[in-house]
Parts: sequence; structure tokens; C-alpha cells
Amino acid sequence: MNFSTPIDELSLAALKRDCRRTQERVYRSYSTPAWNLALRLSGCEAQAWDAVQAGFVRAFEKVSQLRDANRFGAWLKRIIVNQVMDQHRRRFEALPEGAEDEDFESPRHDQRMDLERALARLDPMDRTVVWLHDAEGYTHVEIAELAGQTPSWSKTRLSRARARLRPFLEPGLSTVRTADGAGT
Amino acid sequence: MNEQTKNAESERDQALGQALNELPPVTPPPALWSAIRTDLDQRSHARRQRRLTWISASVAAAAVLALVINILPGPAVTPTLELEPDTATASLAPELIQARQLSALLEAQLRQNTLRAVNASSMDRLLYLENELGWLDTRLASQPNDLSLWQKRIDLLGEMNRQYGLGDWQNDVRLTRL
Repeated sequence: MNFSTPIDELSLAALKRDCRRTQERVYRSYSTPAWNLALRLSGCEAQAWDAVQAGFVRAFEKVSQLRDANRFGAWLKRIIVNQVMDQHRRRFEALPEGAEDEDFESPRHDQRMDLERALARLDPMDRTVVWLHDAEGYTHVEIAELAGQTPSWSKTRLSRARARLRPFLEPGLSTVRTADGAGT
Repeated sequence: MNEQTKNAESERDQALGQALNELPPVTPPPALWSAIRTDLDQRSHARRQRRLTWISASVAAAAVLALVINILPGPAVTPTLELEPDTATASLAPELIQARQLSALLEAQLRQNTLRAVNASSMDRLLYLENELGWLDTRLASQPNDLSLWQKRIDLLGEMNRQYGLGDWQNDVRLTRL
């Protein structure tokens, strides 16, 4: 199940009636992609929890605005991305830019840090931009719109994030795990 | 930056995208749904409370409004018996002019009172009185200067106003002043 899987019209109608059982069923269908997206974007379980909880609550409360059941997954994804973006913006306002960059570790031969950990240690905005662009296929214009920034801001962030992550893909250093969790 | 370097970078970027997409999926925490359901329940309860509060406030406001409308005195209908006689009535006897003016005054009062709610027994009595008034007005149309008919009309209108104002001490006071 991923965000492109649609829900049926009956489920949409039940969601609009605030039916808890349907809400739970829909949650179970989308919880894994939603959780993974929020976790990759936020880099932290606590923030991912907040984003997914707020995202599903918002989606269920605003579902009356949705007309096309086929669009539910894409709509939910957008809501969750927005939730994480809001978290970043709030955090961004509290922290000076690049404040988290100092403790970023370089990969070491004897203690490899895998891509997932490297991703989690990126600046929140850099991580969000690189994930949305490289993993989700968002354009710079879309990312800039979500972040309330310009496309060139998105390009700069992507360039910086890629530079940080590339060393973890170098032959001999890469510990990118496959879907079954085994290192390569 | 030459073409070869560009291509190499592009390949590395593609590899990064692929590597990100191949990260193993993580299972969401089992308690997450409970948190969402609790959140939804709390919000639903808060909405119901707000709706209930709003309805109670509306009912209370309507009750207060109805009370205020009932308590407020009607339009000032002060009996002004020293009205200027117009040219059409100049030749009539002063008693007849006075009776007509009083009749008009009571009729204006009656128009205000017809907006009020009345009880069932008053309703029966008012229907009877309205019939009487209709009959009297037919007679007055043919005998407009008959003082006794005007006196009867004043009595009828007074009685109708009294029926509408039963239980309303302010109205009794107003009618007494007439």
C-alpha cells in the first residue's frame, strides 16, 4: 500500500460521516507510507509521530472538502508533508540556519554511518528538500511553494544535502540497506 | 565543469535517489492509532459541547428577547381628546367627533394587540366580538352620525382590547387611562 492507492467511494462517504471504524481501516492502509514519509522528512520519531497524528486528524476532519476518492492518498501525503514543513518552519525560526551542521560526522572506514543515519543527521530543511526532490520526485518550484521559499533556495539546499550524502554512496563506504534490511 | 563531470554527477544524484527509495520501510508505532482516535474523540466532544453551548445561548437569547418584547410598553397611545377638528367634521356635534376620535384610538390600540398571543377562552370571545364589530360597522356605514352606534363601537373595541390584554397589567392601566 502506498499513497497512490485509492480508497473507494463508500469509504469516502463513511469518512465524511465521521465513522471511526472506517477511519481506522483507512489509517491502517496508509499508516506505513505516512509514517515512513514523516520519519524520512523529520528525521526523528517524536516529530514523525506528531506529524502523522496531526496529519490524519486533519485529513479526517477536512475530508468533507475532498470530492474524488482516488485523490485521498495524494491529499493525505500533501497534508503530512505540510505538517512536517510546519514543524521545520517553527524550528527554523527558533534556530539559526546551519546550527545543526556542526556535529555532522564524516563517514569513517572503521565506523560507517549508513545513509539512513546520515539522512537523519542532516539539517531538517536540507533533509526535507533532498527527500522530496530525489525520493518523491517533487520539483524545486513545488518544494519552494511548500516551504514558502524560492526555487533557488530549494536548489541550494538540495546541493548541500547531496554533498553531505554522497560520501555514503562511495564504493566501499556505502552501507545502503536493501528493502530486506541487509547491507550491501 | 566539463561534460564528463556533469554526467558523473548526474549519475551519482540518480544513485542517491535510488538509494533513498530503497531504504527499508519502517513500521509505525502500534500506539499511534490510539493517539489519533483519542485526538479525534476529544475534538468531536469539544465540537458537540460548542454546539450545545451555542444552542443554549440561542434559546436563552430568544427567551430574553421574547420577555423584553412583552415587558416593553406598546407604542405610546395617549388619548388625545383635544384633537384639531378637520373641515369635514367641523359641522358635527362635539360628542360625535369625540366618539369617533376615541373609536379610532381604540382601533389603533387593537391593531397593536392583535400581534399578541391569547388564550383559548379569550379567542372564542374575540371571535364573537369581531362579528359584532362587523355588524356594527355595516350599520355605521349607513348611519355615520349615529352617536349611540359609535358608543357601542367604543364599548366593543374596549372589550376586545381587554380580552387581548388579559393578564397584562400594563395594558389594563393603559385602558383604564382611556
